[in-house]
Amino acid sequence: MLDPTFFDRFTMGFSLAVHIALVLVGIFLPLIIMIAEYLGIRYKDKYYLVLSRRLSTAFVIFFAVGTASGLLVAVNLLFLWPSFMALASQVAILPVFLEVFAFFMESIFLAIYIFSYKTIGNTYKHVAIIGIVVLGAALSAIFITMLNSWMNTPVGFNIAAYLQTGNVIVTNPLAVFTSPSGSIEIPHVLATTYFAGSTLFLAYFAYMFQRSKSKDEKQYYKRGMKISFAIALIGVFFSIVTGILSIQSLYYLQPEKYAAIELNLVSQPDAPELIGGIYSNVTNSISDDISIPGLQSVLATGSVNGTVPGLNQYPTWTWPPLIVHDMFDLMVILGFLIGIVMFVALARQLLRKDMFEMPIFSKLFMLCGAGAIILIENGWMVDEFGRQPWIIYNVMTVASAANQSQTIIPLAILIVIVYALIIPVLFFVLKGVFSKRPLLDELR
Amino acid sequence: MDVLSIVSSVTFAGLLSLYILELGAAVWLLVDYNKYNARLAAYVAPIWEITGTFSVFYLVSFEAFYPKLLFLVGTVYILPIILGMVFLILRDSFLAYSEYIDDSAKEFAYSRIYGITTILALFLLITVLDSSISGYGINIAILASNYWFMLSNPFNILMFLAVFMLVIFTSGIFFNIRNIDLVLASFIAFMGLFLFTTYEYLPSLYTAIASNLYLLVPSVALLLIVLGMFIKNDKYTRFFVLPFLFISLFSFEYFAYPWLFGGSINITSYLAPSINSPYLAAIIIFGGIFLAVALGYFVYIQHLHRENAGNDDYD
Repeated sequence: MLDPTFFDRFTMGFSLAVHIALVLVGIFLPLIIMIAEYLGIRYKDKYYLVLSRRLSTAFVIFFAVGTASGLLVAVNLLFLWPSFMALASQVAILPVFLEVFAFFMESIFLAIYIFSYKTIGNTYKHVAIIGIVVLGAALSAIFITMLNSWMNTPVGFNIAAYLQTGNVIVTNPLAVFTSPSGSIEIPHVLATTYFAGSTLFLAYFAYMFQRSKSKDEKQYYKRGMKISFAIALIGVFFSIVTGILSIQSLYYLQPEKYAAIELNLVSQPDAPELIGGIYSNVTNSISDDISIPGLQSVLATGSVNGTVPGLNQYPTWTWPPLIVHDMFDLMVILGFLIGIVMFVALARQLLRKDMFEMPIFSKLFMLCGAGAIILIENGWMVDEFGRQPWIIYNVMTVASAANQSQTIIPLAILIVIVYALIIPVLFFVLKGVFSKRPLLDELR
Repeated sequence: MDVLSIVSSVTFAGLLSLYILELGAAVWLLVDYNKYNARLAAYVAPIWEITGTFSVFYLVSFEAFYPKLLFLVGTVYILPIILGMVFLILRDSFLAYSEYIDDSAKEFAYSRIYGITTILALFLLITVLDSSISGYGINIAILASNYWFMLSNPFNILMFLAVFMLVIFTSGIFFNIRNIDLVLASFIAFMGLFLFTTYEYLPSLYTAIASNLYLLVPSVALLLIVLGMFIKNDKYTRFFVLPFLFISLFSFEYFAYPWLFGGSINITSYLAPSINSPYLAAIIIFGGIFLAVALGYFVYIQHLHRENAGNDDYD
């Protein structure tokens, strides 16, 4: 008989992976629409105005699929992990409840924005309306990340009593808003989401810029690149800062996750930073790694003598899968490379060279777009894999929360098929929509 | 009824009312796309995303209000609800695609997919509603489901037919389908099916209705107003259809309250911990005020948009 827990994990992971990609677009698009419309009005620039208008059409189509996908993720949480939701709904439901109102804010004002193009037109009032959508999208992300932070560092109820008796005694329903990992995780999620979304669109605009033949089209895509690049630059800076703080916070808050990410088999001072490496559970050792002596202790504690946590301090059944180390390395390397591209591009621009016109940067931006998607998906996987075997850290395991019904197996397959259908159709429809509305016609 | 149950019931009645009208739109689109498309799109296009958001709201409020019920619901209804969600994803996606594709052949095909998936999604969601009221298809003691029986038992089939008749009736009036005989016949069929099904397969609900008939006065009054206005072809008829549906569905929930699964469970014993209640209430009050203002502004913008219709429309 097949293990339903595997299919629960797979279904949740797959739905979330697709949903995260849609969310990137859903969070970034209203921001670029708002900035483009503002600049278009401010400088009476038709390219910016057309940019905001065309992107708003794309946003509505993405929003439709994203809303439905979000609903499926919410339903998955309940049906794949009923024990988890039974506990979370008693202790940590308030931000989720608030998230729905933020989502309402987003969807109602998006509808208002679209239907007021004719009546309000391109005015600062119209910009303010999409501004509310931007706010709603950001608040949605913040509130839902609060639930994830709570899963990493649960608070607000009597954990000892729950572990002993299974009874939930809520001590502070508001504690979920200030769970220890939230203060770092929320800014990190926001920064990386805006960064990845903007880099993705930067790649798209760069590709279209290179393909365009007419001067008007090039002007249009160049403006898209400018806004995306500015946001990506700010995003990459904050992603790096919050990323460093995030790994430091794991040291205190989730030491097993920290030890697995750093591949620390033993707790020790003067710990090296390992890049790569293969773990053998037969010899309980690591080989083929690049080791930088003392660096990890310095980064984590500020002192070469600082002691870092090791997996030997914990029973092996609570070890996260050690692949998180390689995933983390991949994340850091990709982030580092994209960061270098962004800052070199900025330097070129500051040296009064119009780097947007340079094909080499367009090509690099395209690579960065692909890298950004891998980066954010990989980042979430590090977060989730790194918490294994817990769904709620040190409180509830994934296996004990999982729905054990065999029914999930065909449903998991069906969900994959449905996404495999609607995502390609989404791009097919977008292509169809814009092929009927040629850019040059709108610019004229 | 306690406050959280009232909020939950109000939300559910509102959501189901919107879905019933959308199901009506889907049915009429399937019946004659060319004839009804323009009329139905004017209703569906502005609100589908808000209906989708309402679905999330209901789900989360259910999770917040009845956390101890989640394990049970999550275990016994996994198939129909996830399958229903899959159809809702397809519905949302293909509705948006059809709205923007600007290619009549593809628009027609996508509208068909929208119509069929809407009907299938609603059938599954009504199946869950029927089962949660009657207990058909599940065994609470061992948390097991017989999905085939849940879908095919006479109570579910007849109730879905009754809902389908209600859909024809209310959407016929709402979208001003001027086939008075069909609309009236569908209402008579709905009443007959509903009364027979509850009497035969869920007598406890039938008795609750029969012994509290006075609670149906608002529904009946609204029904008479709607019928009178429809027959006179009054242009404001549609404004009374949604309140009629909402009040009727809320009354239905009230009659079933507080029992679930054919009387095996009293829902009040599954309510959220009282320590959460003031915060939930505060969010509902402030969130509700915000929503009311935002929706009011939306209706105003919609009104302006329609007044400007005929010019160079954005959509």
